[in-house]
Amino acid sequence: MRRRTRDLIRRLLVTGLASMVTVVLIFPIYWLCTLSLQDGLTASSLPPKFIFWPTLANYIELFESSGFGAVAINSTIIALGTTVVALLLGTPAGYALARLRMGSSEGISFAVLSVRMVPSFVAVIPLFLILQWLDLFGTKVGVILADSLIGVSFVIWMMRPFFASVPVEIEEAAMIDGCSRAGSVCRVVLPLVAPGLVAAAVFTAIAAWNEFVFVLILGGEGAKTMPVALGGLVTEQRAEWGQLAAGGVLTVAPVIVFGLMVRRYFLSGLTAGAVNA
Amino acid sequence: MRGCHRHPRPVQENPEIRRRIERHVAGVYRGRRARRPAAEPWLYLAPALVWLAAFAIFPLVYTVNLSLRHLADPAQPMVGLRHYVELFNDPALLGSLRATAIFSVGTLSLSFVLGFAIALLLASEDLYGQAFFRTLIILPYLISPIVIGVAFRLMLHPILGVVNYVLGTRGVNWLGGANTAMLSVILITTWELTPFFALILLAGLLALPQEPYDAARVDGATRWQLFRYLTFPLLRPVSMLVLLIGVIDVLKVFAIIFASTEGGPARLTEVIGLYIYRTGFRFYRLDYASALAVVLVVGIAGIAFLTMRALGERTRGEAS
Repeated sequence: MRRRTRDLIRRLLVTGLASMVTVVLIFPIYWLCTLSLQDGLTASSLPPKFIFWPTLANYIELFESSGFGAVAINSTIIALGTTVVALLLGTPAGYALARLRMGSSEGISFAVLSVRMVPSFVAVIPLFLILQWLDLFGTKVGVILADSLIGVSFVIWMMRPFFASVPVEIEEAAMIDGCSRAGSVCRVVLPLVAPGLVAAAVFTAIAAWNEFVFVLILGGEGAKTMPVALGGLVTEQRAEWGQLAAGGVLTVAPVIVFGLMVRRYFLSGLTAGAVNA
Repeated sequence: MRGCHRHPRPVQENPEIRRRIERHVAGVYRGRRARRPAAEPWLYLAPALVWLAAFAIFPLVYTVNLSLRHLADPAQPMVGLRHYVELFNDPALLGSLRATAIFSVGTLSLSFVLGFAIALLLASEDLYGQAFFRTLIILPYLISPIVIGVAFRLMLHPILGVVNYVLGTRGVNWLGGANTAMLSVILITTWELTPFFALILLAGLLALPQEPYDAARVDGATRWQLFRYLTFPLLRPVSMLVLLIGVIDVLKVFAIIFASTEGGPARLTEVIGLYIYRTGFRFYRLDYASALAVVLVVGIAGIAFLTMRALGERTRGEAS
């Protein structure tokens, strides 16, 4: 009896501690939502209001006066484009690296990984000039090319273990039945790794959606995305707080929704270097 | 290898050779395709490799080339190592390196200790709703660093910010004060990185073998001793991995600081990323910025190499 109470108290303590940690980790996101729903007067009142009458005025203003609609479209196109390029190039390569003989495979994999180690503010220097030669500076295509640099390497690293976990025998069986290698990969292997592919696609899209430096320097006005637009809105003036918060919420919301959908794959994604550009 | 496949002698005593023979025979019956050494994978690899050569290797070489030129001169002549010599007489760089060192060490150690603690908490059998907490905790790492910077900038506002209100510290200018700016930036980045560290360490914790713990408990080990002499040493490879990824991530930090302090006040939080950005794209000294970039990449590669080697020595024994 007594022992049971002590166990219960310990469980409650541990859970309480975890809840406190979670509150600290969630609070900034919650607060951003709060600020985005307050009118200017409420947001600038002291002490800060926790309970208030919500308004969508900030969101409306964001689209009407700050032209956030075009920026949101840019963000979407760039995220989707980067995902397509990264998957098209990265998936076959990930498969190949999973099936190649060890020696060469390890060397190439490491080379691919080292791409991820280069900070974007370094990679952007040569890309700045290269995209100007190619006449792609300030275009969405240019930004997609730059973003795919990280995307391709990430997809390769994330998909390789998924492909490696599919037994070769399954493929061979398909080939006995008359499939070519490409056919057996498409009909047998890809469906097996489909969840991994979806997760890789989501992580790539999130990374491109969040990417800041490439867009800031290579994007110009024509390919401005939501993070860069927010970076431009950051000023000391109080008047823009609501819009900043609203823009922040709109930038974060899809990431959270899609991120939670693939939460089972967080770990394989994170160790392959997902998201954080 | 192939020779012994072609002339299979009856060496049936050796099971390895026997297996190879059987596999070879099976391959012959399945048709040649099944067992042919894989040339086709190279075909699948080619587009990605061409891509990486064009957009990763070539730019890197080009950066080195840029760093040796004088771009302000229309002829863009080669000036050799002049920019690299300049590195040594650049007081602003020294300041930036100092900021980078404080920022990196502070962020890494805080995130690691907190991440370890949170991982232990999330691995605890006493925790209700494990799945719930394990999912929610990762959110900070998913969201855009710019939004993180913006959110904290709003929360840390000296007069209207919610942080001063909650802490009861009135009027403290966290991001603008010379004494608090670096601390604030470190804490914000720790907020972002800790969940990531925690999740990887948690995976390591959950994969630990159970037997040593049972044995130690039979011997009457306390909880602290279990941690000190079992968990911590057993998690060493995972910890090294986390720190390797962490070092690289911390050196890559740009957007959080850009959106919160912009490197200020008085460049106190201008870490290397912001310094390279300012040199290259505010002052348009792309040649000098290239030299900085080259040195940074070499440094990161060195750190990665050393950590990988340390990691390899530790794990190779268990892996295969």
